[in-house]
Amino acid sequence: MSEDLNQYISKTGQRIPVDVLDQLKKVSKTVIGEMFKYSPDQPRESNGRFGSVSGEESVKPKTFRELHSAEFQMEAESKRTEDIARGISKISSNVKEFNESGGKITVMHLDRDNPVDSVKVGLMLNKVNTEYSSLMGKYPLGRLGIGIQYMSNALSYARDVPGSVLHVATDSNGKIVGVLSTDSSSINWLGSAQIIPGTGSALVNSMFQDATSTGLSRLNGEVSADAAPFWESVGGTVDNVGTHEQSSLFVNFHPSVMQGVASGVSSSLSKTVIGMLKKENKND
Amino acid sequence: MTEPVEQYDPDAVDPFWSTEAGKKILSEMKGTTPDASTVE
Repeated sequence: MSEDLNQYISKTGQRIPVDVLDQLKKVSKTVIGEMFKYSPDQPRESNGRFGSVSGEESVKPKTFRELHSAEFQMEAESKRTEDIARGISKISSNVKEFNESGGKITVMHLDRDNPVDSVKVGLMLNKVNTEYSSLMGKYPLGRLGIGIQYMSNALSYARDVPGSVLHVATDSNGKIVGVLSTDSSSINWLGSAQIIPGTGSALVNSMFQDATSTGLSRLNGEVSADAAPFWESVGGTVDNVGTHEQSSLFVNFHPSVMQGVASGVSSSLSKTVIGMLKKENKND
Repeated sequence: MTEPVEQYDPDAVDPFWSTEAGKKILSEMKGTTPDASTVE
C-alpha cells in the first residue's frame, strides 16, 4: 500500500489524493475510537480521571507535587549526608584543638544506689557556682553567662536525677570548663565556660563514645533556639516539635554520626559516612 | 518578623577571657577546682 502510494506520488508529483486522505481519516477515527472507547468499568484514578485501559495495576503518572516532593527528599538526603560529614569533621578538628590546649574529659556514671555520687556532684556544683560567681552580674557576659549557667544546670540535674551520666571538661589545672549531662538516651544540659576552644565538641564527642560503648544507637534532647546552630554544626538534626502555640526544638543524632565520631573517622570521613548512609538506606 | 537569636557556641572562646578583668579572674581561679577524675 505504501509502495503504491509512493509510486503514485512519484509518478504524478501529487501529494495524497483527497479520496485516499478521506479514507485514511475514517480508518483513523475508527481505530482511535476503539482504543479510547468509553466503558463504565474502566478503572479511574482517585481524582476521577481514567486509569489504565487494560485494568492492570496502573503506573500512576507523577503529579508535580509528587515529583517536587521526591526531588526535595533527594536534596534533603544529600544535604543530610553533607551535614553529617561536616559535623564529624568539625568534632574531629575541635576535639584535636581541645586536647592540644590541655583539655581533658572525665565521664562519671552516677550510681543510682550510691548516695556518695550525689555528694561528689554537689561538691563540683558548689565549686562551679563559687568560682564563676565572681563574674555573674559584674560584667556584661552575654552568651558566656548562659554557658556558665548551663554548666551549673548540668551538675544540678545530674545530682538530682539518679542514673545520670556526667561528662566534665577540665583545663590543664583541673578547673571545670564545661559540663554535659545525659540520662538514658536524653541530652539534658551542655554548658561551657568558653575558656578552651572546642569544649562543646569535646563533650559531644565524649557523649558519643559513651553512648556507643553502652549500646545506645540514638541520642536526642530539647535544645534552646540560641544553641540550635551548634547542635546542627556537630551533625545533629534540629526539628520543631509541637503545635504552633507550644513548640520546642529537639535535636536528634543519626547513628552514623555517633558511630562515625566514636570510631575516630577523620581522614576518609566523607566517604565513610556516605558509605554508611548508602548501606543503611539499602537495608531500609 | 522574628528577631535574630544571638547564638550560644560552647566551642568558642569568649573574648571576655582576653580582657584584663578576664585574665585576672582566670589567674585567681587557677587550680582551685579539683580534677573531676579525683572526685570520681
